[in-house]
Amino acid sequence: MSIELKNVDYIYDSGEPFEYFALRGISLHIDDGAFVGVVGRTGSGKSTLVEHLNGLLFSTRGDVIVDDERVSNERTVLAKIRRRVGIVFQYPEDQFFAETIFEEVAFGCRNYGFSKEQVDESVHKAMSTVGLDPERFLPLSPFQLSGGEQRRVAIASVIAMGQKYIVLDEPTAGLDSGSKLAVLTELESLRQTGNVTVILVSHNMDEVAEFCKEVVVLDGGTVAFQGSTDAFFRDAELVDRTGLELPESYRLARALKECGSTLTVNEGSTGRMLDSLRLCVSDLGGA
Amino acid sequence: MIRLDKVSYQIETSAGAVQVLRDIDLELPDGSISAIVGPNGSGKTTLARLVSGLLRPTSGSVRLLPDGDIQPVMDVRPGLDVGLVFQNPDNQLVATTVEDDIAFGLENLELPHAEMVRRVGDALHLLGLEQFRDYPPHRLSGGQKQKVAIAGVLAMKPSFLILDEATSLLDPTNRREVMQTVLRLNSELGIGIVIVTHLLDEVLVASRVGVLANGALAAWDSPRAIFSDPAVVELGGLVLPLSARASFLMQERWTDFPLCLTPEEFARATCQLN
Repeated sequence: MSIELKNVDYIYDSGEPFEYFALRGISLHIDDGAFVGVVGRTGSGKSTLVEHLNGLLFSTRGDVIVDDERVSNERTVLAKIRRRVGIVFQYPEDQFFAETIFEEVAFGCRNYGFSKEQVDESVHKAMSTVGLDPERFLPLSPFQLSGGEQRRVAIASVIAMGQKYIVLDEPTAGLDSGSKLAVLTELESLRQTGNVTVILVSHNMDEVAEFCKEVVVLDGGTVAFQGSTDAFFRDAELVDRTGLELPESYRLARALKECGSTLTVNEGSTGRMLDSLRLCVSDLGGA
Repeated sequence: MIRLDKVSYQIETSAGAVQVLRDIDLELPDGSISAIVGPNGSGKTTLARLVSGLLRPTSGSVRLLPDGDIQPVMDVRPGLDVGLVFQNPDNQLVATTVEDDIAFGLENLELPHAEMVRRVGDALHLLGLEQFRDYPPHRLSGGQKQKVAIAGVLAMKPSFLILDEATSLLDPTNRREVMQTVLRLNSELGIGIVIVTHLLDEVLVASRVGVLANGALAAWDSPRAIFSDPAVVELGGLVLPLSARASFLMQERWTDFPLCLTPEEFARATCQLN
């Protein structure tokens, strides 16, 4: 099972004087269980793309296929698609409305007709997954929380519905570095233990390098690259051309090479880079 | 300079009074660049609003001290002395064209028409927005919108500009562009800058960094001093840059290896070892 896009075009105001191609000929394949990054400069089509994945937008041309089901404007199809694909929008906490966190997180589950026990269980589980103690937080008002806590509640309210594809549009924008790491680590463990596919839209290349094995790079509404995150960041020229920047570990490796240092480090995740440096340092020290 | 003396701020909630900030003493010299960091909920935005005069402290004072003078002291006037740029430009843009948007704050000052036209023109020019004068702001990119927001604030000729996570919604290119613009406003016009941020790059341009934790100022020091103290880094909700962690690793073998905050610094330091 997977998400597949075949030659998708999306035109805003099609046929009008201001018609605008937001997506052009997008073909993509996202495997089950992947942690995929979607990156690209502002206006490259990231949010438009993401809104196709659960039928908030419908392609002008081409097909979006979720688990063999073609996304269309038909009621029964939409209901099915939305049970599978959940989206956490930018600044999801702006949409809070309920009096308690329990009510906020339970809202989606109730709409899907979960029984009272199922709602209860899903809400508790989702809160624990995002690292918030259910006993302490569920009775509180969502408006009493700090920004990082609110973001986690918003993420919990989507994952409580138990969809297998979770799409997050810049879930860490505005979070402090500690909360950023916590939210992404929680998503990674959800992916590993919950058989969930995570699609992460992000402007933060460090977090993409750290968490996403694969990446989809959009530029001007087209796919400029799809494949391993490492292969993308090794192509510094492409990174620059698509308006992005190198993660710190790649910058470090490049800077060391440029100044002719005898130290060489592995790019990629923080752990990988520091491990390779540790090895390198002990080799040098022994000589 | 802007001086904060024993500034505390408290809000009333259904659960009783909550102390958001307590006993903040801070001096922001004219023309300086400062950064404020701290975990979510530590009071950064409240501090930004107090410094810009949008909020009044529950106790203590936020005053503007004319250059080189101790007296007279006056309260900060929002907009006029200190301009505030928010995280999301969509929350700050109100008019149907870029030009009208920049003029919006000025219209409340009852300035002569010619002066308004001149100030709007200057602001458009400073931010390189001339070609967008007649554009509807919603058709601009995030970075351009944020520049329009800054232009509107700048047209009021404040002596300080506060950016409250003003680049967190922008892509890397736009973020760099907005930051370069802000640094240029500082060096060319001498506008004092206060950057509220979670981003390392933006902390590193500041000469002083304030770390807020649980409503108190836990540290007020240079970026290098802040990052050399792991306890302060954690209090501030920061994560050590990879280059700093790599430096600490190097220090296990070469005890005098310097603390490097960027990859370029780190590479230079390692090459000096060879």
